[in-house]
Amino acid sequence: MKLQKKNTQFLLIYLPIILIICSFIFYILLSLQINHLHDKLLLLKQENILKLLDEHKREIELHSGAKGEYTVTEINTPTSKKYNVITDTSIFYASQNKFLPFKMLTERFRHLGKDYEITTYSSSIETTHLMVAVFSIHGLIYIIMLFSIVIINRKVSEELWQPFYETIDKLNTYDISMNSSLNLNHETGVTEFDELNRVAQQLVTKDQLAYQSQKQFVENASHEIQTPLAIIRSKAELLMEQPDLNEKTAELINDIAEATTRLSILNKTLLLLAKIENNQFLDQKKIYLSEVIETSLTNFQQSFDDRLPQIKKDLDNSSYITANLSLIEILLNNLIKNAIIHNEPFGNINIALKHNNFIIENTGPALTISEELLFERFRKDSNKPNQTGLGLAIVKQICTLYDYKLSYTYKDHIHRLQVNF
Amino acid sequence: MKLLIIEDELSLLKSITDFFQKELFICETATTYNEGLEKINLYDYDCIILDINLPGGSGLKLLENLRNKKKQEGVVIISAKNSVDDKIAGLELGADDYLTKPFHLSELNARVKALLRRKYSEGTNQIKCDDLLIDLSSKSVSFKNIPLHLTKNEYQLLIFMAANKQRVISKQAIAEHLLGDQADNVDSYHSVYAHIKNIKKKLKDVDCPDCIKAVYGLGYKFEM
Repeated sequence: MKLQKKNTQFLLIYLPIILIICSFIFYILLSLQINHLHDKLLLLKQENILKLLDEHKREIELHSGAKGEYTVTEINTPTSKKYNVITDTSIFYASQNKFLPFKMLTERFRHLGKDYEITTYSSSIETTHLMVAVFSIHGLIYIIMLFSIVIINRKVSEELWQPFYETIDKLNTYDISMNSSLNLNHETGVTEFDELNRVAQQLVTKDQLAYQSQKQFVENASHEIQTPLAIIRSKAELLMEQPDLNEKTAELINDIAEATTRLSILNKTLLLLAKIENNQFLDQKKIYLSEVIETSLTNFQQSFDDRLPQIKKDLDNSSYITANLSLIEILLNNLIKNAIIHNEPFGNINIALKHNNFIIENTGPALTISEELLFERFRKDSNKPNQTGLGLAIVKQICTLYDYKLSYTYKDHIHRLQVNF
Repeated sequence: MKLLIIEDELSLLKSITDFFQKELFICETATTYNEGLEKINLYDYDCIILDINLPGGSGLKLLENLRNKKKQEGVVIISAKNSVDDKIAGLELGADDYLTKPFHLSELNARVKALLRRKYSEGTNQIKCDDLLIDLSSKSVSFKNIPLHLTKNEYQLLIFMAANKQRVISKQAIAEHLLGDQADNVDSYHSVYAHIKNIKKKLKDVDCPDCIKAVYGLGYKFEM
C-alpha cells in the first residue's frame, strides 16, 4: 500500500472517532450550559414576579398567572414537594393542539401572612431547536474539516516525500555493473531524507568498492595462476622427454598435461569474462555479421572436419553493428560451437541472420538443467566434463554489455538461441 | 646460438633453460631487471626470451633499452598478461613475438626458431630435414624433389614438428598450435589425430619413411 493511501486511511479511521468523541463532549457541555441558562431565566422570572408582588402589597388572586410564564397558588398545608429544582413539564396549547415542552421552577414564599407557591416556566423547545441548529452546523464544519485535513495531508505528503521518491528512482535505475556513479541530493531540506541519502550513498560507494575489488580479484587471480600453470606445463613437457619414460608414467604425465590445459583454458575464459565485465574492450567498429559468421564456420570446418553436423544457413549480408570485433567474434563463435558440441550424431544446425536478428538452431535432447540456469557460469551438462561451462555465460555477458536481447527456446527436439543485435 | 632468458620465476627459468640446452643453444639467464640490463649491455645474443613482470622494473623497459642501443637481438616476450594492449605495446617496442603464459615449450621453441630463421636466412627461407624440404617463402613441401600437397593446417603442423625435431610434442601443444583459442576440449584432439594421420599418409605416398612417431598417447615425435 502506498504511503499516501495508508496515511489517508489512518486519518479516515481515527479522525471521525476523535470528532465523534469531541461532539459528545460538546453536546454535554452545551446541554449543561443550556440548563444553566434555564436556571437563570427561571430564577430571574421568579425574582421579577416576587418583586412585583411585593411592590403592590395586595392580595394575590387565587390561581393567578400567565400561561407559559408563571402560576401562583396558595398553599395551606405543608407539602413534601421539592423546591428550587428545575424539572421538565409540558403545557397544552390549544392553538397548536399539542403539548409543548417547558422547564419549570417552583418556590415557596409568604405574602401578607399567607403561604404561596410560585412556579415559573420557560419554553425549552427554543433551546432544543438551537441545539439542533448548532449541531447541524457543527456536523457540517466537521465534514469540511475532515476532507480538508485529508486533502491537505495528501498534498503535503506528496511535497514532503518528493525527495524520497527521487532517491528511490535513482536507486532503482542504478546498476553497479555499469560503473556509473550515484548522485543523491544531500540537501533536500529534510534532515531525515538527507540522512537517508547520505547513508544510501555510503552504502553504494562501499558496494562499488567491493564490486571493483571483486572484479579486480578475478583478474589478478587469473594472472597469478598463469605462471604456476606455465611451470607445471613446462615440467610435464620435460618429463615427456625423459629417456626412461614408460607407458605407466606416460599416462600420469598425460593426465597432468590435460588437467593443466583444462585449467589454463578455464583461467583464460574467466579472465575474458572479467575483462568484459570491466569493459576493457573499448575500440568499436562497423562489423558485418555475416562475414564474422562465415569466418567462424570456416574455422570450425577445419577443426571439426567430418565430425561437423550438417549446417544450413540463410544469412543476410546487409546486417551490421558497431561493436568490438573480438567480442562479436567470441559471441558468434561460442554460439556456433555450442550448437556443434551439444548436437547429436547426424544432427543438424540452422543458422539464420535477418535484420540484425541472429537465430541458431540445433537438434539435440532436452536440457538436463533448467532453462534459467543455461546462461549461468559453470552450468554444464554433467556428461561433458571437459567443457568449461562458461561459453554461454560469456555470450550472456557480451549481450548484457551491448544490450542485445538473448533468448532460448526448446521445441520439437530443437534448441533455438536467438540474439537481437 | 646464444640465448638470454630473463624470467624471475626460477622454476620456469630452469625448464626453459633445460629445454633449449637440449636444442644445443648456449643459454644465459637473468632473474631481475638489473641483471637483465647488465647482460644486454655487455653481451650480444641471438635471441632473448623476456618476461614482462620482473623485480626491479618492466621487461618492456628492458626492450626499449635494447632497441635504443640499436641492438638487433630477436625478442620473444613471455607474459602472464594476455592483454591486447600489452601485446601491442611489446610489438611496437620491437619485440618479434609475444607468448602468453602458460605456453608450451615446444611452441616457444617453434617461435624462437622461426624468429632466428627470419633473422639469419638471406633469401632462401627453408627448413631441411634430411630429404624433406620445407620452403617457407613458397609455402611448399617436397621430399626428394617430389612435391607434397598439404593443406594449410597440415603445412603449419609440419613446420611446427620440424622445429621441434627429435622432441616430444604433446598433443595439447599441437592442438593449441593448430586451433589457438578454440582448442578447448577433447574434440580438438580428434583434429590433431586427423591431421597427423593425413600428413603420415601423404608422406608415405611419396615414399618418405615414417618419421612421425606416437609417444604413448602423450603426443608425437618427429624423427628425421
